[in-house]
Amino acid sequence: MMAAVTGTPGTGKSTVADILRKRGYSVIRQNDTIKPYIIERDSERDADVIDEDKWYEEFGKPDAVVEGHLTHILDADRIVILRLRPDILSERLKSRGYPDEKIRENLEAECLDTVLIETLDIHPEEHILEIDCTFLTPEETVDIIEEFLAGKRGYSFGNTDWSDYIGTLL
Amino acid sequence: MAEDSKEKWGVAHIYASFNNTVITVTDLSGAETVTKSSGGMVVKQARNESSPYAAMQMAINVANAAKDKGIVGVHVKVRAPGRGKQRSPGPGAQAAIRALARAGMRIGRIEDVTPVPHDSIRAKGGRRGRRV
Ligand SMILES: Nc1ncnc2c1ncn2[C@@H]1O[C@H](COP(=O)(O)OP(=O)(O)O)[C@@H](O)[C@H]1O
Ligand SMILES: [Mg+2]
Repeated sequence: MMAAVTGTPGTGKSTVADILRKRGYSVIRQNDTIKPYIIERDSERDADVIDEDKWYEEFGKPDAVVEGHLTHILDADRIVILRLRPDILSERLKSRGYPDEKIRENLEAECLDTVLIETLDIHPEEHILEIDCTFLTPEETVDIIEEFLAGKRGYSFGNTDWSDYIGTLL
Repeated sequence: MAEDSKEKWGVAHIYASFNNTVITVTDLSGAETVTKSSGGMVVKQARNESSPYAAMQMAINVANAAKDKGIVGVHVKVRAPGRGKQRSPGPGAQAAIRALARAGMRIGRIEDVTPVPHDSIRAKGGRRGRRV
């Protein structure tokens, strides 16, 4: 089975993936696979742009957990979306040293449920688990992910609403 | 959409998330909030229900408050991650724009500035700059 761990940058995907690896899962990091698919540079965002269609085609369906903020576009059997309250996400992105504009755009994306909405465009509802990590330790988040992957926990999404934080972005 | 110097124009920002739609109007610099209406205050969309009606009601309130402050027209910036499927908040954004117009706001440029999540990479499908 292929599982994707996705979410806005800073929500805790890599941390969770480290723990999954320690617990015996085979883990693939999106950013380790993406270099051949870079097609241009977005200097405004200080980001490389990838050809996600080609990446999708060539990625296939390995029996692994794939971690990264674009992995919900892959052909995964289960998609786990990590969510984080925007005020806390903001602190994390600041401590990464991201420029203000990059922080603001990622916060907007988190406030508007961008990753969830993209996921719902692609995957059946029963394959999606959204986890609000705001009050969870990484270990607790991984426990929940393991239950979902083992079929011991049902799908669920749409329970977070960060729209109150939109006002703080203005 | 000529901006007569005596006529005050603003920017309407439409934010459509999975559960809610928020519309704010700022001045042209984006600095000063002229009026702001949180969808949560007007009507919260029922889950799994895209609600053009809620967005319309909100847009009418916002248009009236903006008119009271002397704003005759708005450029529109839409942030709506939906891409046209059933669950998409897109219809809410469209309905909001139509409602602003029907409430007597002149509508200038309409821009899609939907945010693109990114760290050191982003997908080419990033839709900033797309016309609505
Ligand atoms: N549950 C958590 N509680 C507190 N801090 C966390 C938690 N998960 C991650 N972090 C911290 O947040 C930062 C971003 O986490 P990271 O896993 O790199 O996010 P992502 O891979 O989604 O961009 C790191 O400094 C990490 O230590
Ligand atoms: Mg990471």
